[in-house]
Amino acid sequence: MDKLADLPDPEDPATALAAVVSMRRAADRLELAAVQVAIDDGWSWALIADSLGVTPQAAHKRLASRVGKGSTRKASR
Amino acid sequence: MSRKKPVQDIRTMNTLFTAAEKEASLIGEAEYGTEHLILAAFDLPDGSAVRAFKRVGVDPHAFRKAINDQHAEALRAIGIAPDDGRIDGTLPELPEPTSPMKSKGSSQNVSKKVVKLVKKEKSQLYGAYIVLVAAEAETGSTSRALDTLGVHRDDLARAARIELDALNV
Repeated sequence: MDKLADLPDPEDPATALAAVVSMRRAADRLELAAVQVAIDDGWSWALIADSLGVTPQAAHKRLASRVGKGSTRKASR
Repeated sequence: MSRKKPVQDIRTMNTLFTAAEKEASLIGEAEYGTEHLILAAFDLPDGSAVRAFKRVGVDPHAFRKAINDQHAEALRAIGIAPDDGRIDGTLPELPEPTSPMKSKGSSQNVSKKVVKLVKKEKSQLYGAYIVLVAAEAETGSTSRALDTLGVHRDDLARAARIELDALNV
């Protein structure tokens, strides 16, 4: 098995915090893209919320205004 | 130049916020930050933000790329391939905004400082003010993007000041 990369050492806050920002950004992007695909595939907000570990209300509030109905950029090209 | 009515600055600020939201939404981010405000400032009609960056040898496209590059590099350092192409292709089409997007703390600070500085200098709100204030930040995505480009923040601040002085004569 390949050696896994370590998370940055918190003793080096500049590198560690830069990684946190970039991971958060990547997580936001991945979440939105995956939720769009889930909606396109007919998932309910309750199922999406369960998968994200939040309430349906919280998932809907945070994401519903940002996703379209059957409209990933790839699908609409 | 004489101070125009503050309502014009309010319009400019609204234009900036809307454009910054769009910049963040385009790449699937939930909040807009200082780097998105700078990208928004590039499109203001006064052109001073673009000219300030060009004075340090950077065009808007290069700055946009540097933002992505520094995020990609931070992820690679912990063994994650960014795979931006696949995510970009799966993001939703941009829906019509129904409510204002949240702004990151960094961009809130920049906005407040810019408003204060514009008022103090009895100027109009120009894009170079965003650049000038954003260049103060020692850390954060904007600072790291500038590092990626080999641009010193002080040089960018000086370039922004030259542009503002030219506009405020």
